[in-house]
Amino acid sequence: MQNKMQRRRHYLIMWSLAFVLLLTSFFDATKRVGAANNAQADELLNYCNEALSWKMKAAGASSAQDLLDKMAGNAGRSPEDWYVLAMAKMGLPLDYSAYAQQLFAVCKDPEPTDVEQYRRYLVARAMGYESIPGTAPERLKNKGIMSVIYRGYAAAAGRASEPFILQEAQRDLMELKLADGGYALMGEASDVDVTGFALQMYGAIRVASGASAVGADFDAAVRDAFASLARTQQADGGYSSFGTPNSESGAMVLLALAAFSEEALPADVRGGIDVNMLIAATEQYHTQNGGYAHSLTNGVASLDNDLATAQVMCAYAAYASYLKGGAGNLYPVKVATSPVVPTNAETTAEETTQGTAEETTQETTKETAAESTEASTEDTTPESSAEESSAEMSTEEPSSQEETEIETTVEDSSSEEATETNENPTRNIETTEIETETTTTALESIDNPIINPTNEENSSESAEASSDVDNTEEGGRALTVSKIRLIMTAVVCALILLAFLANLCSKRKSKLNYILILVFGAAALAFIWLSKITMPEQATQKQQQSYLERLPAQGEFRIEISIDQRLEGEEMLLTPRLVTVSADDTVFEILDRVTKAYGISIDYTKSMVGTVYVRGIGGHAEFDRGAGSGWVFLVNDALATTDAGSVKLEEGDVLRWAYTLDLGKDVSP
Amino acid sequence: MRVYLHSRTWFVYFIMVIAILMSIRHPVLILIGLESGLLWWKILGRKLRIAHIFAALFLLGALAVANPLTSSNGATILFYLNGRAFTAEALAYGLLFGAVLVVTLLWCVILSELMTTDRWLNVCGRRFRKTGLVLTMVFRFFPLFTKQWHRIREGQEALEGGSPVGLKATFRMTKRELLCMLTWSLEHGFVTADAMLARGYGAAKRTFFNRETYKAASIGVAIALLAAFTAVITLAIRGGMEAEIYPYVRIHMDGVMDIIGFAAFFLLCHIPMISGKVLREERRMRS
Repeated sequence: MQNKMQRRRHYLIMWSLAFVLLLTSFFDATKRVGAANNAQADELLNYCNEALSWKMKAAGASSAQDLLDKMAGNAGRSPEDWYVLAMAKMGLPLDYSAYAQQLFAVCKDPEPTDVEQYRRYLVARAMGYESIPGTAPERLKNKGIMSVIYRGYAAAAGRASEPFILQEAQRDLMELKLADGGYALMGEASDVDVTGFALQMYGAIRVASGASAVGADFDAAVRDAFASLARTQQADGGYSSFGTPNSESGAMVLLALAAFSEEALPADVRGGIDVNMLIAATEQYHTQNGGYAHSLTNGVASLDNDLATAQVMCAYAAYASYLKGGAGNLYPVKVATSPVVPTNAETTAEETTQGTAEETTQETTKETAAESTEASTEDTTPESSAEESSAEMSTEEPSSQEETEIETTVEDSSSEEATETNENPTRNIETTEIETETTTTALESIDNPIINPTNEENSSESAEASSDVDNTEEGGRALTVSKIRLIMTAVVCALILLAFLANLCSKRKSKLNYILILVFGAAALAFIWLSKITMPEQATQKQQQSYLERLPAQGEFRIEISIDQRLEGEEMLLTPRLVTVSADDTVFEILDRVTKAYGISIDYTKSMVGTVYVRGIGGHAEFDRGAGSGWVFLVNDALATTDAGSVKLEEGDVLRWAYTLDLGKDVSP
Repeated sequence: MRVYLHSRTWFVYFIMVIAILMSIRHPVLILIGLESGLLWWKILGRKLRIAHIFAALFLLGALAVANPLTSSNGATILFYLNGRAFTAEALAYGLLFGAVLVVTLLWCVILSELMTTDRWLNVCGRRFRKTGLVLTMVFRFFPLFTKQWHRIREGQEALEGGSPVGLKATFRMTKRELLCMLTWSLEHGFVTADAMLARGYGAAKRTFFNRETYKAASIGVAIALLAAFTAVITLAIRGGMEAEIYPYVRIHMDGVMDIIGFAAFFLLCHIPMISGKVLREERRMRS
């Protein structure tokens, strides 16, 4: 009986305790978890500081700043860059300028490997520099997995302005996935380090291009990779690479976990890896001096290893940052914005709110998303009414109606652009109808923070349509197509009037002069009203959509193009970049489209037989700098011998337009 | 008769002004050129007809519009016209070029007013006698030809009783006028050739008679003109008075070199007008 009573009492106490615990956990669960997380984060940061002091002792430095300045000599050339990454991630208030100067000097090295050049860029970004002066986003030289991964990091960090580079990196890496879900440098068995690297890149891409843009394949790939990591975790929580348990592999897994925010990774996927065990296992490698060993010798960590210490520091710093609710990516990531497409402002705004929201809690995501959608609805409603009025105007006014009719007749002759521009006016009018639908869907999507792709398309279309309306709303300042036509008509009419008056006032009046004035005036007016006028923003947007934001389709490929005007103290007109071209495009057509896409003007003459001579690019014309000056183009560093209208390129060609001072002798290598 | 300014000084003066206007295309220089050109126009007693202003404005406007249609040089794209960039710089260049053309034409009119046939002969002088002869003959030919044509037309109209009506009658009239012109010019040629022979043309040695002599004033004015011209050109070569159009419009007009250059060009244009003697002489010659 006593035993029974005792047991009952024990039960009672246990249950009441459990109830109290449950209550407390119910009331401030988040607080408690946060406190625990913070405690763990502080612990990790303590380890980081210990490791840093070991490194300082090893390097004979008195402070972290001193250490940084001492390491500057090897900047960009040694694994000590990892320490800089870790220190930046730890948030130490340091002056990185000396290190950065050395790094920039090293970057002038003419033949860096892919991994080197991207790693240097990432270190520069981590130190707070936007770019490395004097270098441009380079072409990927080989398709090895580390090149692909580093390229992805760099693209996510803002290295490449072209959005498709992110897509490409994602696609390339997904192609390299092994059967077991992991990744490896070579062979069919996945490697923990490489998988960790790959997962970090996935995490960076997810932040950079926005959660809605990555797709289901992406989520599956991430899930598989984490599953493979979960399978290979050892009993003690650590990881081994090539059969040897070591500290760096564990650090890589920790970095991979930190790279995904709380809501980016489902709980079951994250739970597959025991993080506490993993940290405990990594601590086995902690030596007495404060550093970390690569592997255990006779079961004891004794030999401090520079690289191992740096990587563990990085992992701890990143994971601590993740635990504290900040960005967990070791490398800095630029949140999705597309600066090259200015008119898609609405969608980018939504993406940015999403991207930043990932770093905060989920509730705020909902709030901000709701706010942004509300704001967008508020924005769109007056626009839609303005749209309707403009659509009405276009139907009422006979002149503008004629204009569209004339445009269609003219553009029938030009094959390619005809279909697109024919669609434009009709689409503009149609969007007024779509607009109301969009607003309703936007209202519905307040509950659902993830924007479905169709909705996004609609909003981008409405943004496109609204750009015209914005221009007209601005009043007299902004030019529109119809305004340009009116101005040009006014100018021609004034000229006709002047010629008339001049003839009228002169001593010798002749009827022939009047006839000539009338004929030429009518021809000029007809020219104005029949020719196609495109605003530069429209042209830029069109060409960018068809060139930059697209992976090559069938019969298309990428080439690298650059425009170098060779002036001291001025930036290149177009730094080297990859563009998607069709196999039928001539060099001149490529130049024409690319310059339109980037808002650069070109001046050229086209002969009747189709040969093209480019006289000037971006306002730099031939003979500006001497008799031998002008524009030439080089394909794969070979000076072209024929005109730009007859040369076609092949995949991977490097096209360089250069301003020569001496008939091309000074630009060809 | 002693003249105040030598013909060669006049010639050099016009060449300098027009060369500077055409080579250094700067808005301020063009304005100075326009001002001094109109001043000459007034001094020479020509009337400024409104038709001239209309024609000049038409030329300016037409060139300003035509340039960007043919050239899309320049960095600021206003819009694309049939797929070709219409740039602000090309428009500015067209305007500037139109202004240069209008002012240069104005100066050419003044040149033709002031550089009379005897001055051309004196410019060519003893060394380039044949050139001078050909030049004077060419300059004399067109006015003489048109004058004679008008005379013949008046005579024909008097004979026919009014100007011809209809295409066929006009054609017949023109044919007759051409025939008259042909015979007249042949006859006139004979007369001129005989007159020249009678004066000793083709004899062993040719004579050259020039009434003009270099006076101190002429030399002084010439030196002043040359100094002003050298100043303008030197400053322009050193980078003053720069009006860059491409790739961006940048017009420098407030630097020290620019202001000195403008002053020098202003002096260059106005030096022959300063002296009352020159103007009086010109008026006397033209009356």
